[in-house]
Amino acid sequence: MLSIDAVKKVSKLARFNLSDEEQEMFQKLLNEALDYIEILNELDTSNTESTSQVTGLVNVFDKDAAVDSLTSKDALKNAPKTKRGLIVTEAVIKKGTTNP
Amino acid sequence: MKKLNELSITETVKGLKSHDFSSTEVTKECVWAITKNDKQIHAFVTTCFEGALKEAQEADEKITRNGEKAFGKHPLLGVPFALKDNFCTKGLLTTASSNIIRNFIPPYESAVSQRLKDAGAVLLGKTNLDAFAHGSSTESSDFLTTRNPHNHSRLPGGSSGGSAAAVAANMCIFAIGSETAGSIRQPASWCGVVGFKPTYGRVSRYGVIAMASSTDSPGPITKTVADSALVLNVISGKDIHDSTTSDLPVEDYSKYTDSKYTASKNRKLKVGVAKSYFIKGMEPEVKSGVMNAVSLLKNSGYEVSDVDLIDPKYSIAVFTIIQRSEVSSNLGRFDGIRYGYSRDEFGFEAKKRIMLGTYTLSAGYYDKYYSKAQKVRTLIINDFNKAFKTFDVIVGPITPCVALEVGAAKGNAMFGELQDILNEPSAMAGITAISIPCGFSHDLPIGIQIMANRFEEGKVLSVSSDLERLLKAKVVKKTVK
Repeated sequence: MLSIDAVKKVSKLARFNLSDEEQEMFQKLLNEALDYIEILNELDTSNTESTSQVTGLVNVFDKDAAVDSLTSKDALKNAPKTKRGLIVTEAVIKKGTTNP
Repeated sequence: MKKLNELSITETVKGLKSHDFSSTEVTKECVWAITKNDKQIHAFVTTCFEGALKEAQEADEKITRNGEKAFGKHPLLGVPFALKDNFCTKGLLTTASSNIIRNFIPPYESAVSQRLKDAGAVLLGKTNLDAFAHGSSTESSDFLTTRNPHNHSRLPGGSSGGSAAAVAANMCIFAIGSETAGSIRQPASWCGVVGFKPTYGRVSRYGVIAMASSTDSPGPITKTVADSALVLNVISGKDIHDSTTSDLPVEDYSKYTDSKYTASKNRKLKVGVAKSYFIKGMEPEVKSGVMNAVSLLKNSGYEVSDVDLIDPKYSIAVFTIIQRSEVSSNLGRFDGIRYGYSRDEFGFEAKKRIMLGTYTLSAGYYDKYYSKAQKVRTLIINDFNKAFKTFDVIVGPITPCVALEVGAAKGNAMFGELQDILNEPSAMAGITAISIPCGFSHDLPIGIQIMANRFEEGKVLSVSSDLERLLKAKVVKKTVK
């Protein structure tokens, strides 16, 4: 069963800012789903390969040739913040940080 | 006499070819039907009437210039349709019914809508869905809950609920949906229309806002089985933008729905009835509706017997893990940087699924959950392969109940996955299936599903079109008595 700490870790991985109330609610719902999933332990899969895709396709290649693609103007159209043809993101390094 | 918006694709194309009416007239009737009825039904998120009438006019000009020959290159010329709002349409709002991309205007066109455009079809608008296709009712849409045209206090099913309702209410001639597990078949059955799920890899997913990449299958929602074959002809085929598409050539699927074909081929086909799909708690009318359809097949000469399949209860767990894991990965791209708003604007259902998926893929748990689910998936695939050695098609119910009341989906940890119990095994195996109406429970439609192995769309189409004719004849016989 998931503890609240585990739910907090998951929400960090999922990049959600959840309130305490939401953490508790998701804890309940996640545990209900995990409970249901236990049913798979009834099946013996010790000698079974896993399936990651059902097409049976292997190594689908494309020509290594340049083709027309999106213009940068089109690619930027939906970006909330742009500057000089670039998409602006949040800072990943704090200002004033130096190498340790 | 049918109104123009009530026509099937077959009837529309026939009428356009013989100049009985124009595409502009059909499109205007659909526009009128949407304007009149959508305030109650809420099938559409976005309409594009101006664009539609322009496309209809262009279609009419092509027909005037080249007559019937125009349909050679453009088999759906002038036929108005609706598109589920998780298909990217260049320059036209595409929201996946989610607040997080409520203002997203795609800079490119999905493969499916491009092929339909090239075939001459006329786009009326984008239909409502459970947000990001997470659901089986449209109650998880961040914008609207669509209503079932047969009874407005009932749900249309989902996630392609808007598309199914639009077809059932004759707001369009056909629609496009997508299925991860049941999202075409279940709403089609609740709305009393035909829903076709092609084999995974038959139709390109390029431009479809991804849910579970290993099972997502775009497909048609139509008024007749023959119509679904016509759409399948257009949307199927290899696409360089989707490396999971098959390079198997696309045959002319419409030959399978011809009564001459089915008369000569079908009586030798073996039909398996999935006993384990008649689950505890199934509504008795759904069971009897499906079994009545099965007896029609038996009485008309098909070899019908029971088939043993793995209990579908395991598929719920497999599907929940695989789908939610892949969802958590696919929705990781919504970071509010290249497009869309902050991740906190995800709806509740999306957050719930991302949370579970993140957990089941996380370090230390991947083997216990995702890996285990992938192994049980192999068992399910092997089970179908074994069954299809004996049977040409497998039939059974699609849902445990007919359309539920509005509000039924709220507060349930696994509503979608539980509702789709009977569609998840086939979705996990990537096989093809159709849902066709086979009766009513009071005023609510019942559907039956017909499944075949991968790339055997022909068998699904031939048996289902035959059953469709048998069901129609039965109704006619009843009134003659």
